[in-house]
This record gives sequence, structure tokens and C-alpha cells, in this order.
Amino acid sequence: MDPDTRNQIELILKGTLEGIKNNDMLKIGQLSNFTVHGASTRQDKDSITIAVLVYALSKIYGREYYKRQKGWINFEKKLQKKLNNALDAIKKKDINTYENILKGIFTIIDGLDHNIKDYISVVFEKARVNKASRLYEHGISLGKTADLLGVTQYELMDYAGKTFIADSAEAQTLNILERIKIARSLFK
Amino acid sequence: MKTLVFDTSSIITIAMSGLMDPIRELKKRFAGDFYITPSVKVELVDNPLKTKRFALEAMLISKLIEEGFFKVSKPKDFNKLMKYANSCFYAHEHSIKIVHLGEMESLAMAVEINADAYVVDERTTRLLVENPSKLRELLERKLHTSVRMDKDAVKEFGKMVKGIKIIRSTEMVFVAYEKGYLDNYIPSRYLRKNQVDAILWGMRLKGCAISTEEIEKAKRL
Repeated sequence: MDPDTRNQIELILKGTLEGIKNNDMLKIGQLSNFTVHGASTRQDKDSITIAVLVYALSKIYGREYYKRQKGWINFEKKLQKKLNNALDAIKKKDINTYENILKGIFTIIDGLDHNIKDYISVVFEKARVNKASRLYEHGISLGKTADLLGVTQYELMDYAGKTFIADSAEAQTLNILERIKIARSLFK
Repeated sequence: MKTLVFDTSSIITIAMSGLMDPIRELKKRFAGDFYITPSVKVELVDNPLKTKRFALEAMLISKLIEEGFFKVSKPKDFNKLMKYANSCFYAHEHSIKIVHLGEMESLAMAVEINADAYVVDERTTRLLVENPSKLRELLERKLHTSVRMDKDAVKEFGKMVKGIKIIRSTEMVFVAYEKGYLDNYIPSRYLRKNQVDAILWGMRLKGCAISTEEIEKAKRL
């Protein structure tokens, strides 16, 4: 892990823990958006994992419904402990430990009661597709983002198609009338 | 022999919009071959077969490949194209790897066989071929950082793809609509502009990168 990535992850983890402590969902949401820049340029496993994790946490903590589910207190306790441990490891530049803790966070849900496990599993799954869509929005190709986030291009197109990505000013190249002319000439 | 090369995104749009039958009719008129590459096949069939959500679409497309509707062929070399494409832009001195195997393999195929057109619905590859400066602007605006364009890499990439014509699945389906190949599917009581709007928006919602403005222009044709 290069020093830039490590510093960025440290900032993100600190901010996420503060956001959780102060119930500041806006802050976690902003951090989630911020992670996309690093994930788009570096495209390394660590930047992508933290992007998916923070986005999922912003969704999980943003819904009071989850907090009323049986098993929530236990989940939250384990989660915060792991986030603090991950922050300690990254501060000590102990990357192996950091990566193992992160893997552990994604598996906490395996030990949850099925009522909350189902919800949180879906949030983590959707987080990957959401982040893939954001990378595509940032200019990384569909195939590249699908590969980086481990989603199919079907899932990604289904998600990205319902956004305004296609309307960005830079996306307009050849006039559609010219493109239709080409198509007409092919199928005379 | 006329040829079209498809990337993954364009076939997904057509399949997910349920518009493969009009495309079959269009192919008869084309009197040529439709090509995909092995990596595109993996993305269209092999990967989604591992999931439940899109396994049916994968099976339907695999049938089209088996019956030869789409021919699978590999270009001799796509590494050079991939190398240049992924060396075009830099942020914080990191090269931004913008494209993937399937996209470059199919683009290289289109170049190699001098295809009549390359059919691609995803935005990045189209921008890179048609207007890399716009892609740099997009990257810069979205990443909130300065993005450097390596002019040599862009020039080499541009030389390799020179003359490639790009269409999207939407333009193909639009022509199929003009030829009446959707008449059996869409009742004639709806106005033409509403039919075109429904078709193109339906395809956009399935992931084709066509803008609202472009759809409005097509409706006026």
C-alpha cells in the first residue's frame, strides 16, 4: 500500500468513526463520495474495499429500522471494535493486520441473526454496484469498473441506466443524426 | 463480406430490452456477420451464469452464439491498443486505467477486420475513440483534480483506431423501427414520437449511454 493510499484510508476511518459516534450521517455520506476519487485513480484493492465499506455503513447507519432489529447492538459493538482496530493498524503501518481486519468486517454479518443479516447482506451487495456505477460516472469504462468491483456488467448497466450519467455534457460526441445515418447506411 | 463488431454493453442493452427479434430481422438485411470476441462472451455468458439474477439472459445469449448469430473470434493482438488506452490519462502521476479487456479486444477486432462499424453502448470507449479531450475533461471534473493527457499515447491510440465508425444499439433499433421490424410488438395506435421515446428511453434505462437531448432529436426525425 502506497503512503498516499494509507493516509487517505486513515482519514476515512477516523472520519467514519467520528460520524458514527456523533450520529453524523452526512459526514459518512461525504466520506463515501470522497473515497470514489481514490478508487477511480488508484484502482487498488484497498481503495475499493474502503469505498464499498464506507458506502455500506452510510446506508446501514442511515436507517433507523436496522437499529431496531434484534442483533443490532451486538453487530454495532463488533463493527466499531473492528473499525478502531483497523485504524490502529493503519496508523502503525501494519498493512497485513489492517487487511485482515477489513476482511473480518465483511464477515461479521455471517454471525448475525437472520433477520438483520439479510438486510445488511443486501446493503453490502448494493454498495458494490453503487460504487461501480460511481466509478463509471467518473470516466472509468463499464468493463473496467465491473471487473474492479466484482459485479456483472448486467448489474452495472441496470443500475447506471437509471442515473443521469448519459446526460453529462462531455458524453456528447458525434451528433445522433450522423450516427443514425451510419446505421441507415449499414442496413439499406 | 460486411461485418459489425459488438462489445458487451450493446448486446446487454438489446437483450435486456427484449429487442433481439428486431435485430434478427435487421441482420437479414445486413447480409453480413456479427462478431464478438472471447472476452465479450465471458462477460455476456460465463460471468452472469455464476449468478442467479442474470443467468437467464446469459443462457439466451449463449443460444445466439451457438446458432452462429454472433460469431466469436479473437483479434491477433489487442495488447498495444490496451496499453495506449490505459496510458492516455494521468492523475497524481498515476496512470488511470480506464478500459478493460473486453472493450479493447472487441475494438481491436473491429480495427483488424476493418468492420463496417463497432457497436458500443458504454460511454468511456466511445469517448476515447471519438474525442479523448472530452474524456479528460470528464475525468478532471469528476475527480476534482488535474488530469494530464499523454499526447503521444493518445496520438498512437488515435492512429490505430482511425476510421472506426461507432454506433450504439439505439441507432440499430431505431433503424429497425423505421423499417417496421417493431410493428408486431408495438401497437400502431401510439404516436410515432411516443413510440420512439418509449423505445429509446427503455434502452437508456437498461444502460445504453444515450442522452435525453439525443432522444429528443431522434423523436423529431
